[in-house]
Amino acid sequence: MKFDTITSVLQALADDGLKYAKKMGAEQAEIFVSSHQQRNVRNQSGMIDAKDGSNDGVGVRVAIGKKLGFAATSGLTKESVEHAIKEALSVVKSIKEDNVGFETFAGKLKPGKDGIIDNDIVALTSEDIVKNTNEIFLDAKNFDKRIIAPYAQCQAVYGGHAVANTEGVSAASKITALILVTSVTAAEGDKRKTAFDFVVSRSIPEFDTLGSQAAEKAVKLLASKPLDHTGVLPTIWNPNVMSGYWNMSLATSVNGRQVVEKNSYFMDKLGDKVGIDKLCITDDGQLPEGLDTSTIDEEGVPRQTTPIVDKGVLQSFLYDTYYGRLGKVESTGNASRGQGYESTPNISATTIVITPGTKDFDKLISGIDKGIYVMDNVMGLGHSNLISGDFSVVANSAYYIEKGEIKYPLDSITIAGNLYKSFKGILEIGSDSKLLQNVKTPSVVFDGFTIVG
Amino acid sequence: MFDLLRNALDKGEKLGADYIEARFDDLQLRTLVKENQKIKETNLNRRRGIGIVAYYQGVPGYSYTASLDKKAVKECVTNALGIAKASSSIAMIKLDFDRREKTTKVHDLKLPVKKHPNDFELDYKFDLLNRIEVAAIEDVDWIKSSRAYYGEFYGSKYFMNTDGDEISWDPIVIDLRVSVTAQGTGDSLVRGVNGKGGSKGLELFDKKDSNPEYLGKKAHEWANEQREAKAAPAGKFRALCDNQLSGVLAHESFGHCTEADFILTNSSSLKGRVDQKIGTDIVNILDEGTPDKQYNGYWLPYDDEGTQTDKTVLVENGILKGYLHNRASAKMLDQSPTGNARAITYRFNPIQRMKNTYFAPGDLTEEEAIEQLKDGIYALQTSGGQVDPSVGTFLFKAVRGYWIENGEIKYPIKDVTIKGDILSLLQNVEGLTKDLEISSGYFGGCGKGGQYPLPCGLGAPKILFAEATFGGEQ
Repeated sequence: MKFDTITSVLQALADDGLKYAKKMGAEQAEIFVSSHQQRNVRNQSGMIDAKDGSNDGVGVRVAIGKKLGFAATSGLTKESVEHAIKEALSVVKSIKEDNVGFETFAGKLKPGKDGIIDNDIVALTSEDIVKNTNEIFLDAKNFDKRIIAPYAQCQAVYGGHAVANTEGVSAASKITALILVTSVTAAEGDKRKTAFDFVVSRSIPEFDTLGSQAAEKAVKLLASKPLDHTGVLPTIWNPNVMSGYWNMSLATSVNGRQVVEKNSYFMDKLGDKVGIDKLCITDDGQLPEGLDTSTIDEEGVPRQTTPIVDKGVLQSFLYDTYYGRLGKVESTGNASRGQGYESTPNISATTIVITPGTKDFDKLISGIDKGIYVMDNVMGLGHSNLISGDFSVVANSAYYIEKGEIKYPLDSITIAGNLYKSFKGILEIGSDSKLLQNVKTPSVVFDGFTIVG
Repeated sequence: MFDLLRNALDKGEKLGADYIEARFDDLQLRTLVKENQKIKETNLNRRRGIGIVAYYQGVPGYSYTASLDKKAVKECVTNALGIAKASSSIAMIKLDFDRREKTTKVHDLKLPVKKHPNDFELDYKFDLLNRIEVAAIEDVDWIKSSRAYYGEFYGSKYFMNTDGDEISWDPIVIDLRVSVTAQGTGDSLVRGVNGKGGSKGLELFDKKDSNPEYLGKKAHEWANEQREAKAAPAGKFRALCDNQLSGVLAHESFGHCTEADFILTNSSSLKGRVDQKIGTDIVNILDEGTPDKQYNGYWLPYDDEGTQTDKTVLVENGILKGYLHNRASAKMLDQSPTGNARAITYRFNPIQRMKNTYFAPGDLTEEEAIEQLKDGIYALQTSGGQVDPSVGTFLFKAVRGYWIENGEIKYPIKDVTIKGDILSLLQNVEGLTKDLEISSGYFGGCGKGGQYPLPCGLGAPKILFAEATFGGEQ
């Protein structure tokens, strides 16, 4: 699909689908269409996996009374859109039970703004993408002979989505994005250490030293030693690990659905102090460089900027239309479809932005008398107890800090603590903000985690 | 459909591709979810489209389209070849393989089932959900929430290549699961989960050990037992892992390390270890395409390069015998193709993935295994985990467990996490029970290279370990 006319073409497809759904007997309907050109090249130790294609499809929700059905079809021809509508209707007609929480689809509001659009990403050729990948790959591979498994990936995406529904929503949004990833394994004797790095951007970024940076991290880790210590120590987490940390600690606790269903740890704490004074967290669906920034969310509500925590005080949860109604609040424009057109909307953060502090990374380190630097990757964070917030992770990439200096890399250590209570245990928030997939965060220093190593 | 695919092959050859293969998928996926006995999701997805792999000087390029008109397919072939040509000069690993001497022509291969989900109305499936959920909650006040889910996946896959293979077959998977959350001691919440799935017809849920009432009742009992469970101790213990947890260990912590792309790219801890002793004498691990129908495996007669799947021996008597291959990696490592080139849909190229990976059974009964365990942890079921195949380290959470003392079950334990590295674990296998279980399903499934969730089978008997490392929550 041509990029310069993509929003109008998608919007017309959604509008036509809506007319067809009404004609076929839907009392209420919502048509979601999307098209994303994805060119993806991976180079794993010299083995190349290259792909170029357009992911197109339609997802349809229809309602008769309070009976609600969903069907999706790949492809964006008239036939595929109509097929999805007919299937959704046939599902609704065979359901005997109401969806008790459902009233209507998203109401019509003025759309927000799209994020940065870079036509240079659209203009990239297959050769360009292969070349970019190879530059990162060689930069990682040639850094040191102990690098045994260099990997580089370049993914260029452009496309858009549109929503039309019986509440009068008819809007579209577009995106350009480039995602560059590198990871390496370094080996010496029986010891193996891994490291990675990446850049996500809506425009073409600088990435000259991405590969060698990751390679340097992995090689340095080869000198790891055991910590031989059990106890509570301050820990500093860099943006790469903090992005996962914020995702896990906010995924359930500020998700409106989990609040309505009473699974959220923060559900009765609106207006309460949940973190230190310096902690400010927003969900920014209008951050120009954010990958999830768009005019509308994936059910047609304007994307917006929502303060979650301000000066340590809990301000708001994130909602879509369905759970907003059940929670008696407005949607915050956080409806997302995990698998695109194949999924129904769910609540998900856009870009979580942590307001940076004033100290750079080196200053943060120099303020730690005895502690641990955690970087890149921890294992097990995804299996934290999201009801209580308890977590226990294995950090394979960590350093020991003494008297304000990074001393030496560590063999695997275990770090345990509580995601939610840790907001009050923050010692420092750095100034080194980095944009990751859906988090923009600086490094953070925590107190109160138990280290076993 | 084969006509359209042949058209694509002709176009690719004309444009200069050395070898080309074309696939067509028309797959239907249905998900039904009830939460707290209310309908939550009634989703139906149709994935229909064409995928093209074009090889140029030993480098594959991939493209796909959901549009079935000739012009779109032609563009798809051009894109696939274009990106292959762009990559060919810089690829350090060339993926050449020999043309097939003997080609396959198989059309419309189907697994015989009694109750195909396509022949049954939504009502029938919602009834399964109602029954499993009612059985799991049993109207007690300590169950705080419940979730029941049903999934089905079926359709047709077509494959054709310039070697002359021409294959079409119909995959099928069904799945029924339930999860209840219960009030534990203090503020804690505990879970009971159960379910069954596999390449089966809906008659699976008529059987006495897999009907919704039985599955739900077990989830209820297990949740109840967990309410009073003590926190698991941390440290090194003798251990018994049940069929499900052991099956996940076979797949996640071992199986991935045998995928040949990880071997070729130095990303597996099993590289260079063929013919080496990596486990005790009683360890045998297999990866099979079409396991016996007494099990609930995933039926995979051909992979997505048109290779007939085999019963691949990965470990025999503790010795590593081979890896899981596509055509190119088999050629490079001088082994036979094993039928492990799989793609989740037409939007993805086939890569090395598992079929049904399992530990072969031993000779113990469960009672004998517990007795032989003597003192230690019996860990059951799993809610997932994480693996680093390049190092071989893993971490898995069991759903529940028991503390065993003097060969007897003492009390239930919770928050059981098993961790370590797979090679040490295999060296610690002390016994296996007789009762092999292989399972697969619609929910869960395997993720690799952005392709998730791919249905895979996994299995094991119960496995006794002389030592395993457990982590408590804190």
